Order: sequence, then structure tokens, then C-alpha cells
Amino acid sequence: MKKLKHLFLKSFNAVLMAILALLGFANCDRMGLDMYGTPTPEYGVPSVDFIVKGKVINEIDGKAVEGIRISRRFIGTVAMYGTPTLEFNEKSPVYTDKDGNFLTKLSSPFNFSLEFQDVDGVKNGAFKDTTIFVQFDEGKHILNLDVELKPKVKETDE
Amino acid sequence: MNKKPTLRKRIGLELFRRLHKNNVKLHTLNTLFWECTLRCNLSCKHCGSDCHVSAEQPDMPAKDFFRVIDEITPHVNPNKTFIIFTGGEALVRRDLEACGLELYRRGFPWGVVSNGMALTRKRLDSLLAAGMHAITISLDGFEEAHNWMRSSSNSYKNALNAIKMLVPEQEIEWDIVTCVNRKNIAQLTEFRDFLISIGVKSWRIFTIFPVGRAAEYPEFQLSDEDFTTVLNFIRDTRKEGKIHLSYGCEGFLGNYEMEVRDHFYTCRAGVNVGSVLADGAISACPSIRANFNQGNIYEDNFWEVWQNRFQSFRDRNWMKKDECADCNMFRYCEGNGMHLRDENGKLLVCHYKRIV
Repeated sequence: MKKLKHLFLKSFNAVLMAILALLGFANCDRMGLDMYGTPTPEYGVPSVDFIVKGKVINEIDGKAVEGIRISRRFIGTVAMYGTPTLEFNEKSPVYTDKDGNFLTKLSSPFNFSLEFQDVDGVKNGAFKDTTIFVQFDEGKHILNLDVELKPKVKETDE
Repeated sequence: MNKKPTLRKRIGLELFRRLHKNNVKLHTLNTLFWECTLRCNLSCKHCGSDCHVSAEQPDMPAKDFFRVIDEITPHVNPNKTFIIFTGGEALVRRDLEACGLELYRRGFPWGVVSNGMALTRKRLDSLLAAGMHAITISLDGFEEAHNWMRSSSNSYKNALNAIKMLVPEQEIEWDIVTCVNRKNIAQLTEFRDFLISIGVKSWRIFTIFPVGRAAEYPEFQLSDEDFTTVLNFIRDTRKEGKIHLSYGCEGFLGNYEMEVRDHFYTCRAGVNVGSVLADGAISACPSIRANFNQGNIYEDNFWEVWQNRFQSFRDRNWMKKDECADCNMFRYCEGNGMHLRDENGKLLVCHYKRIV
């Protein structure tokens, strides 16, 4: 019930912000509001994303691979002071574009792995799944990660 | 400019008022100050306006603050909960990087408010390596005005060096904050052009009210005409678009709303902003009087306090008294910022009434 109430209030705020924008009071970014209409604080940016971006290519010919699904998986514990061990898949995977580029956001710089899966069959080529454990440089919020995928070998070739 | 809001602004204010009421019901904690020390490397003339606790108060052990972080973590989105180290002067704490890195590892964005005195290249690099996400540096005008205010002959040089180091940094958000007073108001335009010339992109201005040590210096108190001049200066600078300038968060400003800030006025203390003070007190913004403290981390669970107390912050009808009693702007202003209420809840200054 409480979740429903919160959802209603947040949706209500989104409508109010849309009306404010229509009245010429700028969009929510320029108004210093987050997506639910909460003003941002004075002392800097209220949110942070740990961004992994890069390009997926074919290991053999170096060509970009489109349509690869990238899923984020968190495993482990990160805290000194008591946060329990967690293991979960973050929602909403992302896909590489026609140039093989991708960008995904993580909630923590540690203990994430990214799973690269070919989910469109032979379209755009057939590739083996690959899992990469993400390692940000300490203190950084952006990680550039280029990935080479191995093509699947046809059974008749083996 | 007429200080009464136009019809269009009134409609905007009404909508924003509804939005704020929803936010009060949600009271999402997204900003948490940690007054990590009361020690300071300066003795600023205006400081007493906000600090009432002796600097003999020892620094809070980091593990005590992180117990609070543990208490809130299951209930907030760490990525959207901004932790701000403040003081005193936060950089005098030698374990600041260790604390910051611990927050970084847990996914919390964190930042520092500093006078810049101790921000050397080495220190900045170590803060960046610990995942610092934002920093605010105080610079109160040119050398004479700044050093007068900070009571130190080196303070301007050090703050300026700190700012110049920040200019090329791409991965963090940073801004300059300036207290406008009688000593520097005449140089505002020149100072703005100077900030633009050295590469400053974001600047905030605030004015001070006559409380504590600040009350002893008449130089701090702007006349109503000067105060209005400052608002006009901010409005005009924003129109030029060469630097992102805002007036501080305090004060309802009538028809200047949306002209000098990015959003309509609202006091987020106790609605979205909480704090852990040096002695463990739980409050909202650190500058709010101690009689509004809502608990203490050594006795209470922070999250329980955040959820179940803070009534005087979230329902401000109690402020509709004295000069606010018959004011037709109260529905938008709700009695001005919480930090502008004295020990007896009496309003110290009304920004709207100062506009001429």
C-alpha cells in the first residue's frame, strides 16, 4: 500500500513538472529537479552512476558486433561495517548498437560482472557467451571496456 | 521589477507548492551532511552565525558515522543519496579519503565543502582517487575582501590556487560560493568577469543574516537596496549565460523566483536533507539551531528518526505567526528557511520583505 502511495505521488509530481514545463518554467533538469520533482541540493550532484562503456568486436576480423545483450550481475559484499553479502541481476540489460557500442550503468564500482550474450542467433553472426569481471580504477566513475567475442564454430567444422 | 509574482508565476508557484507537498509526504532522504569536524584552519568573521558548538568537540569516529550509513542503506538508493562532508573545515580530517573511499565503494556520491586552504595538488589527487564527486570552494571576492572576511593573509591565495586546480577537472562537479557583503558588493561585476576568465562555470551567492559573530560586523549587513541590487545582478548574469550563477537556497523572493535560481524556492531541510552533527545530533541542514535537533545517533536509530520525527520541518503551520501571520506569500514561502528561525522559533529575516 505504501509503495502504491509513493508511486502515485511520484507520478503526480511527474505530471506537475510536465505542466510547469508547458508553462515555460523550463524542463526538470534546468529547474534543478530530479525526475520526481525533488530539487537538487546546493552542494553538488545528488546522484552518481558507475558507467561502463565500450565496443564489442569480432575477435577474428575486428568488425563491430550489433545486438549483443549485456547483463549486469552483482556478487559479493563491499562494506567494512556490516552490509551483508548480496547476489542479484540488475534489471534492464542493454544491447550493442550497429557500431558495436554499448553503455551500461552500475550501482557500485565493485563486484560486478558483465555477461555478453549473443541472443539474435545467426543474425549479426554467432558468438560465444563471455563474462567479464568489472574492475574500475579506484575512485573512478567511468570505465572504458572493449570486448572481443569469439565466433561460434560450426559443428561441421569441428 | 515589481516584487509581487506575476499571474504566470503565481500559477507556477501553485503547481510547485503541490509538488512540494507531495515531496513532504515522500520525504525521500537524498542529501546527508556529516559535520565531520568542528576544527578549522581559519577563523572567519561570519562563522559564528552558524556554529554554536565549541571546537573542543572531538571529531566523530568514522565508524560511528558509518553505522548511520548502515542504518539508511536498506532504505535509500545509495547512488541517489549525496553525502557531504562539512565542518569546521572538512579537509583537516586526515581520514577523509578513507571515509570517502568507503562511501565510493558502497555506491554513494560524496562531496566536500571547503575553504580551500588545505587543498594542495597532492590532497586533491588523493580525494579524486577516493572517488570524490563534488567540491565547493568559498571565495568571497578579491584578495582584500576575502582575506578580511577570513582573517588570514594567505586565504585568498590558497583558495584561488585550489580553484585553478579544479578548472581542468572533468569528472567532478564543483562550484564557487561567495558571501556578498558591503566590502565586496561594489566589485561584483569585476569579480564575475574574473571568475569567468579563470574558467569558473558555476557560482553561488549568498548573503548573511545578523546572528552570532556575524552580528558584530556591520560590514556584513546589506541594505534592502543593496540586497535587491544583488538579485538584479544575479538575474542579469544568468541572462548573459557566461557563468551559471544562482542565489543560495534560502529565502522566498517573490517575482525573482525562477529568475535567480533554477527552481522555485523551497526549504528542503527535514524533507530531503538530513545531517549528522559533530556531537552525534540528528538534524537537517547543519546551520539550523540546536533546539530543532531531532535525536542523536548515540541514542537513536537515524532511519527511525528520519521516518517518524521531523514534524516541525514537514508541517510548518507553526511558523504562521508574528510577521508571517498575515502574509499572503506564506503559502509559497512557509515561513522561510529553517535555519532562519532562532532558538524560540522566531524569524530572523524575511527576504521577500527586503526586496525594494
